[in-house]
Amino acid sequence: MNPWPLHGRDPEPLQRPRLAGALAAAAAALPAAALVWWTGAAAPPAAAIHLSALSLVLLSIAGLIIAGGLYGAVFLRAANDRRGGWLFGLGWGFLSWAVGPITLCQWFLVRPVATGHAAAILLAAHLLWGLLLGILFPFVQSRIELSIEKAPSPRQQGLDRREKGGKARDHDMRGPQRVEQDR
Amino acid sequence: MIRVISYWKAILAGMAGAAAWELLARLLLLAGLPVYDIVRLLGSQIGGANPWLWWPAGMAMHAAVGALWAIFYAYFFWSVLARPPWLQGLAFSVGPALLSIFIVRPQLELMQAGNAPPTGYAALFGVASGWAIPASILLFHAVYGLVLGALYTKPVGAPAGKSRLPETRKATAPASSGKDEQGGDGLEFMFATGIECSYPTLDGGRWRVDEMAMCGHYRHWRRDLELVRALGIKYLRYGPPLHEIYRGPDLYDWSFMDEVAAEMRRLGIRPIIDFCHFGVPNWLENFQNPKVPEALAAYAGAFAERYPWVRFYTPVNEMYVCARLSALDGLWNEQCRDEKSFVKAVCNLARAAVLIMQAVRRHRPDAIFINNESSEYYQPCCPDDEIRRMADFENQRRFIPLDLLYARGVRDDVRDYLFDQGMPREDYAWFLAQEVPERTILGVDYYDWNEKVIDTDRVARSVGELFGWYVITTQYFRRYRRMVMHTETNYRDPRGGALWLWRQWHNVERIREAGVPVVGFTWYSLTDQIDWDNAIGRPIGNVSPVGLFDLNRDLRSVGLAYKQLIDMYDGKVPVEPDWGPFDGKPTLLPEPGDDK
Repeated sequence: MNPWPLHGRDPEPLQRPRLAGALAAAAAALPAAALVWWTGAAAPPAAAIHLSALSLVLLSIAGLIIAGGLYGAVFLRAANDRRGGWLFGLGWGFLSWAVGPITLCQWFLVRPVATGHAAAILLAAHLLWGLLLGILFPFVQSRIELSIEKAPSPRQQGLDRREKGGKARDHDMRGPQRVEQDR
Repeated sequence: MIRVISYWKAILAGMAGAAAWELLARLLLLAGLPVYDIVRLLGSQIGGANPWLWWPAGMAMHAAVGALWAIFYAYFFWSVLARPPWLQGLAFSVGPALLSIFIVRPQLELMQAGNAPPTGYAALFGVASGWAIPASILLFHAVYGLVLGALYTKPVGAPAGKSRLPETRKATAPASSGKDEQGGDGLEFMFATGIECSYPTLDGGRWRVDEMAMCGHYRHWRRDLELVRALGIKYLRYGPPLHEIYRGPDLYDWSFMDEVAAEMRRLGIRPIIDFCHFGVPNWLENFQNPKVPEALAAYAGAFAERYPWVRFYTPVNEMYVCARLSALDGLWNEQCRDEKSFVKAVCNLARAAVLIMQAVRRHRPDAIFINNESSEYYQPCCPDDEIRRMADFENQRRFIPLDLLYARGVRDDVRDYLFDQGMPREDYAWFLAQEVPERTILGVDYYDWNEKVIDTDRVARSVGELFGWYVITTQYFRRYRRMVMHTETNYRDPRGGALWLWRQWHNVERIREAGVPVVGFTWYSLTDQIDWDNAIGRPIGNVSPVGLFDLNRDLRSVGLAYKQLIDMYDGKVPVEPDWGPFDGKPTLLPEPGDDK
């Protein structure tokens, strides 16, 4: 087994993937929301959950921003991939369509929330959002990353991490007496 | 970056999988079976009921979806399971199949639904119309997965002989004549990094893995050189792609190297040129070929003549590792697994290194040679005579290439071993008769897998850092008594990279305090590397996250730590060159057996 997340993790010392994901998602949500709004595809699901179309669109944008932050938290350093980012984002958009609000609402309501063209446009909007999220992410990241001067010392971080791990191990091995000593 | 993939291979494999699916579906539909017709379902969104419209439209969409899933497979699933590729593809297909059964198909049908959409869980989640359609979806995905898996293999590397260099301008005159500003005996402490450049062949010489291509250096070489300077590093271990440059006897293509060399000069980078890094051009076959030493020497001479400003050279990188993995472990190049082949490879590599030094010195008499070797150490696990004997032999074997290079006689039993395994006595005498250039530096590479314990089953296993660079380097220094450089290190877990860097640096400081003249330190390499988790024995595309930068050229923690270290120490580590065999008296820790 080769645990792939190892290669994509560890965004330190400069990257802020969660924030970058949320910001990129916000930017990507605008054209997707516009598509849903102008084609009227927001109306059927809004009606299904007794909201106005505008409220649904605004709620969706908020949800997509959270989903973008989650994207950054899952992919971390790999989200900054200039070659594969578009696909990771597209996949994330597909996933958010497949197991997101549309499917969940359908599950709870036991009836479809959209059919016909509206259903097709909802899928297209999710894919568009995901694609833009993946493409925009590296650009956003490059604007918000920490400067080298302001980045924390990796040596100090490593020592802190080690000390923390050491203390946890000491506690595991020696029991509460060690904690008493530390106090 | 998660993994290096081959886009075109994935796209072709995915489209082929979609085509195989459609072929089977048409046959089953023609036979009158009630199976899932994805092409019609997709195509009718655009082409309506006209088969001349819906089929091509549906097929194009399905092929595109197949290609997208295949790229996804390449990034996230390929090589995760240690199984044959076709089985990996088959296992991967289960995920898309379940998504298709429960979500995609019902949603696609909803997109076509009129005013009376289905209700109820079974209808909404694709299982209301019996088992035939879901079963056919599983079957078609299995076919897709099998084809995808079977076709998507070897995503990195290329058939041996195929050039991977970018289009460059035609070879120009040498970048510039004139020598390096730092001539004479002067030497400053060298903070260095390197561009990973291994290029061995696999599969009996048919497939070449080229780390410079896989790590994107050919595409991003200008950026890479800028990044070196951005961290305050002046010395760069750089192995020009021998297999791309050296096209045949007296036939060189310098076009790429000319551009790189000019940029290095512009940026003030001092390259440590590495002439042979685990591979040779196709026409030289492998390290069993007795023509390799003279051919490499000719190449080195031509290089030194073309780039006279270059002063630092590594004739052959890690000779012991190269011989071992090529001729004893059967991983690279000749892929032999016997002692005779190992000895032949060692002799050819050491001879090449000697001749290369001579060839370079003809053009640059004050050249400095950094002969780096992977520092190895074997510890017997237990008081078992045979295991102790094995460890003792391996601890001698690791020195053979450097002993030959530095004209130092090997231990009597090792000399007998060399003769028994086919080394001509006159060749041994030739090595001992060579005059070793004064300006040589002993490069000692160290990774946390270099120290091994020979276990009760008589297999050598890496046990992490056992004694550390200080102790192992002491062994090498005592043997060769040359100025030393820490020429390679890195750490596989990026979270621990910064601490490992500092640990290595403190080893350097400590051994300098003991009187060993260490003149340089290297974090290897500038960027992450590819497939070193399997010693580049299989072209998979896995990223080894060991670089100062990742393959997106984004800074890693260890990169920042190295910059901070250099900022702190640059110009504050005095070096007093003491060329030739060192005659000082270092206060090193005693070695076991020193008292005998």
